Amino acid sequence: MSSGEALLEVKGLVKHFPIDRGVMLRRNVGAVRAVDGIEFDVMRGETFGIVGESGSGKSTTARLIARLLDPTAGEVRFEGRDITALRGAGLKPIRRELQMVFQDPYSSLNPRKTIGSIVAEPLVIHRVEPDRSARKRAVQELMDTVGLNPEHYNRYPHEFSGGQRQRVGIARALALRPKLLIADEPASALDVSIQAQVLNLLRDLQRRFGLTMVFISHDLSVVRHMCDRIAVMHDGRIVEVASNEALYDAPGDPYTRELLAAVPGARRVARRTIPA
Amino acid sequence: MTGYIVRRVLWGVLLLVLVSALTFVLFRILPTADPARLRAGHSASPKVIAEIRANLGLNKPLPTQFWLYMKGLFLHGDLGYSYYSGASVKSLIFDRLPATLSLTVGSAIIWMAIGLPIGIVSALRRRSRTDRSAMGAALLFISAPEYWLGLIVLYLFAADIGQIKVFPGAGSYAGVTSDPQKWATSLILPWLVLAAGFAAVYARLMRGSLIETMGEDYIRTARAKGLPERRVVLHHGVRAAITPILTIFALDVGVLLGGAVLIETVFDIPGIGRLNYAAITHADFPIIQGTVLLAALFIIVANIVVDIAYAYLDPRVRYS
Amino acid sequence: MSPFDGADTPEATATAASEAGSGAASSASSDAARPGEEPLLRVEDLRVSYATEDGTVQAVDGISYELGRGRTLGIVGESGSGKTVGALSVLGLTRAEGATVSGRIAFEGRDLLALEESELRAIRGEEIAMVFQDSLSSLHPMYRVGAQIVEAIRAHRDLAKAPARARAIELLDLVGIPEPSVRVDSYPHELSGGQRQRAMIAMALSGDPKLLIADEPTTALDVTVQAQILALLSRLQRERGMALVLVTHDLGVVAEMADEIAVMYAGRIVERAPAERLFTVPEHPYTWGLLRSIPTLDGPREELLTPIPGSPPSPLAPPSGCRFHPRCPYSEPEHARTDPALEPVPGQPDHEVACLLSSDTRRRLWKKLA
Repeated sequence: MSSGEALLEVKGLVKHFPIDRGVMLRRNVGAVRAVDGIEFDVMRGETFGIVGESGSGKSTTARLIARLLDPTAGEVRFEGRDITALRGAGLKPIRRELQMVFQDPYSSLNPRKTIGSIVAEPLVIHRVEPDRSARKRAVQELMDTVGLNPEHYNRYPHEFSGGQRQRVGIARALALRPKLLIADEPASALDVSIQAQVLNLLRDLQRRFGLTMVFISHDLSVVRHMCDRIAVMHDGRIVEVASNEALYDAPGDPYTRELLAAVPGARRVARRTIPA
Repeated sequence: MTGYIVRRVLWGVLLLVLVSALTFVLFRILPTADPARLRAGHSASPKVIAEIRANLGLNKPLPTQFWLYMKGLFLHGDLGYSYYSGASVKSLIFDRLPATLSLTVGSAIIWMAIGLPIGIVSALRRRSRTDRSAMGAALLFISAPEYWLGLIVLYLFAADIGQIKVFPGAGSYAGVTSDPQKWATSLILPWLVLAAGFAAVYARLMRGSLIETMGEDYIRTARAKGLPERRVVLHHGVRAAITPILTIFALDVGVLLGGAVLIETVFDIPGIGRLNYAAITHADFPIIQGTVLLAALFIIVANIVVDIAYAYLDPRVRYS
Repeated sequence: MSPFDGADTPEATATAASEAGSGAASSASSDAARPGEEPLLRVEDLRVSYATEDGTVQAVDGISYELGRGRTLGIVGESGSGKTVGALSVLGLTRAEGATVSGRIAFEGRDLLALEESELRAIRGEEIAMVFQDSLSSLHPMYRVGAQIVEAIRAHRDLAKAPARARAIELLDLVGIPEPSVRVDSYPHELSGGQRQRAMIAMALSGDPKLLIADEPTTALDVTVQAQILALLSRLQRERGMALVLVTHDLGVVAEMADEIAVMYAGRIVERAPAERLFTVPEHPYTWGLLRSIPTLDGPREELLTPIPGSPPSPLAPPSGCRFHPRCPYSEPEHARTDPALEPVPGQPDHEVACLLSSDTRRRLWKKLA
């Protein structure tokens, strides 16, 4: 599954959101410690899962890795290069390699743009395929890859279902052939019968394009299905990183065990993991 | 919260200084009539005009004039003296304030008492004939210019010139302490005319706000608790819908307290608006300065009151 | 209440009709309750439709089910299945939205759909209570939690403010909110998601209802909090003999909680079975599809999930014949013409399915899939 080389390295990553108080001169009195010092590596070709409840810091972590947020401290290295301090124009080349799929298919697409232009936008920004007709063909090919009808190039997001919109988001993320795809709860807002389609699509695309994936979710069952290695987050920290088998068969951390036991219909798992 | 209030008040004071500076500069830089010449009257000799200029302090350099004005204002509460009549601006304003207050408060009460219930009924009976006619009438009253409405109303109902002689005509205002009955009857028409446009606006606002509120989940919960529909609408629906409306209300009142020029002119009510208008025609800067400052003060206070009130009305809003 | 009891549905126990106190059912105006036989809730051919700008939406298209006293029914479905609308119509909450409702909803023998609004109000919050999905939007943001519970209490009982407030604190304590005498004065946004949901449950319990309808009560919550809320609901059921209708899209939740499960699709019930049977010998291809498309914690880690192709139909234009046929891997051409009725599986009167395939065919297919 993975080739043993780390595509993404995260060390001592911290993100604090400051809280200010004061009358005229605002004083910082504290901070929300969304991510409080985490460390992990993502190997090339693998699917790395980050699982946690709300407030665990998993979504903030996703945004930090994607460099949509600036870290308060720590280091993010992509392909060995330190991308932590990059800002603005310096980040642009990174954006080609590192793309993100978002959770809410209803708000992550601009309702005023056709889906063709939504998927084409990364190509335009990074000046790939300057020729308009070549670009259109590339977009339609992408649409076909994700299971959308290329004839619907000129339709608007509201004309599509949630699952289809999520496919548009995935097509957009793949337009630049990134090396790393960060998926933040990509199927959570979808109906059960559609979730499976989107998850399967992601796995299929990963294989086809040789993608490395960071998969974030609150749903332990989904993560079990999708990921090779998994980090469990709680209160801004990683409490456990383990391979898929190890995590579900013999979870080490008590919080992990608590999470697993809480999944409805999952009592059988808890009984198996209590040490003899 | 106290920190928030203190901060807003300090910024408000700063804003007042800025407003008075701006007014000061505008009226002296922009082409306007020369107050000294106006004061001197027709066929006055240049020597007389120059003398009047010196008397009024208009020959001093601008910054000096401004500095003297600010000093007078903030240290002594002195707003200066009218170029035209020589009367103290402060006394002129205080003289006229009661009329504007009466006009504003009276019509505010009327427009809320009319507009809100109409809005509520419209929202509950959406798309019915009641709703459509109410909103149609509202549109009419919003579009009708105040002065036009005022003149029509006078033409129809004024005791001196009207068709049906019901209410006192223009110019019959009396202070509330001197002649309460005349005060009330002379204000009825102006109140109604001023309230008409606002009632229409507030009916539409209330309708929109309540329609949105009644679609919220907590209304469904209230019904699921078995509450009578009246309580659901008033206690749950209107309570949530009225918050944005009250904040707009405070702002509208704040603006009106600066003087409703058109109404005061049509009905010849001696308020701040009329004072201001007359001062402009005479290029009477001190009065203009004073009324603008007053209007700005009302608006700033209204804004602060609105923000603070919102925190009380909606517990989700908290200022650090 | 383990769903895997495998026990038969217990007979509804006779209970005095006046148990619930004020506003209780009066047998004179409707079918007399036959003690020992009548289930607590019987829904017969319920249909709910809305007139919209795009046409008539048949949200619920003829559903029927029963619920015995103290039992739990899970209603499972995706968006457009009509599960939420069906739940709301029990309390007549769809009337306010201008829906057209037909059929019969018999609660202790009385047809709720035939009642006047005032009679229905007496039942709402008192004999039948409801808990909703999003506790933050379902509680009024500008009133304290205690005040909202007190309002529910005083709507049905003649209590002064002080004893009502004491009762509210008692209820908050009952649902496991720490420091209830302090929290009673909190605003909804000041509570955590789990505490808010507990507060809503407390409010629903204030009338000591015989039936609680919960529409996705744990969907918006973290998994650990979800487990606590489900445990709470179970405990309350046991302590009060309260019946529960649990509407959700999450099969794991109904596996945990329900005695009986009804699977809804496109406004209809396509399968209804005791919980144990639904997970071991499901009969409807849609149920198969659901079970096989969800990743699980136990069982083999599949390479690929088996999704159901296509998407749930829009309520504006349901497919002809069998509603599921466009997505069913086993449909035949005539399935587009005939509408299957909900019928019992041979030999299993408690297990019903609406499918045009023969029972033998289904059994064979499921054996291959499982």
